[in-house]
Amino acid sequence: MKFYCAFIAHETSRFSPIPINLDSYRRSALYIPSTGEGEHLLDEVMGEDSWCGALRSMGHEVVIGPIAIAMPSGPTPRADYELLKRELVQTLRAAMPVDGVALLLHGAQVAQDVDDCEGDMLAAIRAVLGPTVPVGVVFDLHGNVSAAMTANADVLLACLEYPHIDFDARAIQMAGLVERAARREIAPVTARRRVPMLGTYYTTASPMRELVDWAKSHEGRDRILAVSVTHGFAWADVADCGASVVVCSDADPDGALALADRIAERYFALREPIRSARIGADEAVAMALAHDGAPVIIADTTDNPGGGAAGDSTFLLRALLDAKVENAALGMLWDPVAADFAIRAGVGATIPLRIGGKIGPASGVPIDVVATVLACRTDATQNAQGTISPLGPSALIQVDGVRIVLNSLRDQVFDPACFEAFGLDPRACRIVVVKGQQHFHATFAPFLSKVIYATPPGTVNMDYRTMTFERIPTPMYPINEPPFEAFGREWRA
Amino acid sequence: MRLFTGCFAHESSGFSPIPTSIENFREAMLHRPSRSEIVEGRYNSIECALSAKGEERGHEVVESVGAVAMPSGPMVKADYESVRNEIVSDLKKAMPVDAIAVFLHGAQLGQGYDDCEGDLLAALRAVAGPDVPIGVEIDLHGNVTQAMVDNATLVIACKEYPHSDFLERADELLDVLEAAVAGRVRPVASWRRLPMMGIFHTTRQPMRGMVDRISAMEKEPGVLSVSIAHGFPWHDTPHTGAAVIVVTDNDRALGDALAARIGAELFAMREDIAAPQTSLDEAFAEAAAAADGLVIIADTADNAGGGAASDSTFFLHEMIRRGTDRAAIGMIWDPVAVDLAFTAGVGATLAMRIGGKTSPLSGVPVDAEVTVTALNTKLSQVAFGYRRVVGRAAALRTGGIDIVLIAHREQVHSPDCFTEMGIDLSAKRLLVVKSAQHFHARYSPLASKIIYAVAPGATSVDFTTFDYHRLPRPIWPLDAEAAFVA
Repeated sequence: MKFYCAFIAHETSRFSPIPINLDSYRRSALYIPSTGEGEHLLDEVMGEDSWCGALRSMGHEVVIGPIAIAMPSGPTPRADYELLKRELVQTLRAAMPVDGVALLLHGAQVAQDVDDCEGDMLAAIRAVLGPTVPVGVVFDLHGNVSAAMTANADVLLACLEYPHIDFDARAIQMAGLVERAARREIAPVTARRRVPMLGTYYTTASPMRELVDWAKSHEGRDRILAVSVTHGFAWADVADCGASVVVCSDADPDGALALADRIAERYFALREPIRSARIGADEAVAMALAHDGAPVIIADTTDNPGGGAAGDSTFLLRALLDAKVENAALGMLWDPVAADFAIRAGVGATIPLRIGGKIGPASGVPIDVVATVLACRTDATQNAQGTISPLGPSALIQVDGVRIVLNSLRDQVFDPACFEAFGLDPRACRIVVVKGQQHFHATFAPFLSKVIYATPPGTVNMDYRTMTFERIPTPMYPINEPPFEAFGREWRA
Repeated sequence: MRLFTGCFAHESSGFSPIPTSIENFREAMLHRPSRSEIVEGRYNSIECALSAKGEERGHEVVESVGAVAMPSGPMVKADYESVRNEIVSDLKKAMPVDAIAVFLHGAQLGQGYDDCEGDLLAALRAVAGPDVPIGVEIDLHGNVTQAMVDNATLVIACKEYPHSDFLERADELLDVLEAAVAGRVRPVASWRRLPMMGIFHTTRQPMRGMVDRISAMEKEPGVLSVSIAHGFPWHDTPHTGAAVIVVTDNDRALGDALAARIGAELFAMREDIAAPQTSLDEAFAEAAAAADGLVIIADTADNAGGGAASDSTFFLHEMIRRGTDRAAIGMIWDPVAVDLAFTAGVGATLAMRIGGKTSPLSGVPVDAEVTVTALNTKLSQVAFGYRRVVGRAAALRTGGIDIVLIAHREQVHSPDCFTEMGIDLSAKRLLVVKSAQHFHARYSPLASKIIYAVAPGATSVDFTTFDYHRLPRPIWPLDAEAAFVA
């Protein structure tokens, strides 16, 4: 059989101070079928280990459409989004007839004047395919699931884990279901139940862990093909924002919806225990110092480049310096000019530097320090969930008791290599502040003593009640407290 | 004759927040013939004209290093020593030579080196021996030292600020060297340091008259060259200060007398030649009170041409606070903001944080809602008589203010900085330019009034704002009692 696969994914924050255009995609990953630009990505991203590889290994032909990935930031300009959509549709058209379509999309992609890129792209795909060719999508649990997505996709499932350690497996699961649907072995239908809540939920901790395990346990029984518990992404500020439960069943729409309702009920009931706590910078540092054990990892969650933040806020650095913490590390502070100054001054130099706080109000204020340059690298990389990602010209500087990694290519910390590349072992530190929300967890877990998810002021603002959303519907927890009516049903306190 | 030439010129400020490594030279100009490294950055430097002129005159020229960089902090020790050693080693390989002609800045610092010129010249003298004439052309902003005068045979500074006469001085230098090699003259240098520091414009009286007088003196018998080095005030070293250098044909008594007399004259006019200082508030008040036409305020304390970061926000904050319209300000060094503007694209409106990012002297960053009005990957302007590339630039508008941001730190020289960014200066009432003086020639025809303002900054002429420990005291204007005894 012949399958069509493509990978278009951007997590969009309308609160991000960082604009984006097609070059931004080029810097991460961009393959344009009509010109051949980025052809090397076909092997790197859609190779053997991917869901495309899984389809090929079953003996099928796979035609690849566009690949477009960029760092989380503001909305994609309309013209650039339309270019990607055009490539998606035209490459499919040229490949017709196909037996199935298997896509990887983000779920929270916004373009200028297109609030639901995934729904928009899926509708365009459906228009080419007609009603009978199965379409499957695997997406990020931070996606905002829309009616257009469920209407146009037959198989819709998200990763269940945050950090997304199960993404590859879920993509392969999705492709397997599309393949079975193409062979007419199953007739997948998708039901979505929206859950009126905004939040960030780490699946590494109770009770979210148990909820996810329980939800997933329904797969493979009673004609249930796939279950997803999506968290949504509030900062896209679109009408579909919020959590949801998505269930795919084999020709049992009522059963799918009923299960989605049951899971949604329990999900909403856990809304408070699963929410991340509000912990300010000074409080986070105090908690870390009070903990008996090392290293304590403080995640600077609100300045997560992986959520569209600049990665240069100074609240936690200020708190570390004010508390005169010894043997602390902080990384990575996105400050290309300061990193360049450190590199020019050279290892061993002690220089005045103004660091951080340079992109906007969410960055806080820049901090003037006297820094000793400990190490410089132009070729350092980290392993970002399987992709080797460069840090750009970077330096490790010492300021009082804190060692700080300054980098040039904005990104979150996925991997201790961010520190080790400069000769700094985070295992030997008392406190390590990482700019990121959760993706660091997979690689730091083996040695961390405690994680504190700090929420100082920042772009990835978790204090939804203080934010001004334009399109998120209310009532919505925690902006509103239940009981209230939303999405056609009652939600109890 | 066999002529050895070289150029190693960096105006180093002891108060600049910008570090200096060999990379800074790659961005401007770096020729290292013995390493076959030629990097043409954004400069097309006229300071290194000595070798071309030597060849034009039919000499056998052995060209050594040509290295120039934007003013910034003292050079990293290892990098300074590497370039210095290379010049010395080039000379060793070139010996014997008949004469040496080099362009040095005069105000170059390295980590641990208060006097790079003296250091380099001593090393060249040691190789060349006592009889080979060594001619040095310097920028008048150099701090002249005994080591320079002892090791060079003659030192000639440019006479003009703005520096429009580097090429003429290079010709004079070569004229004297040729005459010396031919045995027609025996140049000897006399010099006096004056206990004064400051920035002095030669476009205005009475400094204009002074420059004309010393030029006339050079026609007198026995006088080969007369230079006034204004000095570079942002060095915290014992060498800081203005100086007079007189080169005579073997007549030290004449030279000493002339140096003393000119020194006394210059010292006596110190109050009258110092650059005007107007505070930020006064500058805005004067601008508001001015008649119709364009008022230009020079943000002299944030001059990249003296090692400042060119990103201070004192004026921009005030313009926004006042709701100033029909105004423009440039050029603000903010490479990351330039990148974000390029990504957002022309016509985009977004919240941006601009400037105030390099050091405390930069002030506080400005947060503004801006519209990107123009992008230019190769902005250029006319500087020192040739077209110099500025590079990536973005023009933003907020309220009634147009802002030019640049990715590569440079001062404003010509109106292209604005006009090449789509900003119509004829429609403006107020223009703030980050430059101390080099803007003057090409902007004054546009202006109804020019105000030299002194806000906080690394090139402030309010020297009381700097933490000096090693200046030769007493020195005017910090010490009113400073005196020059002829």
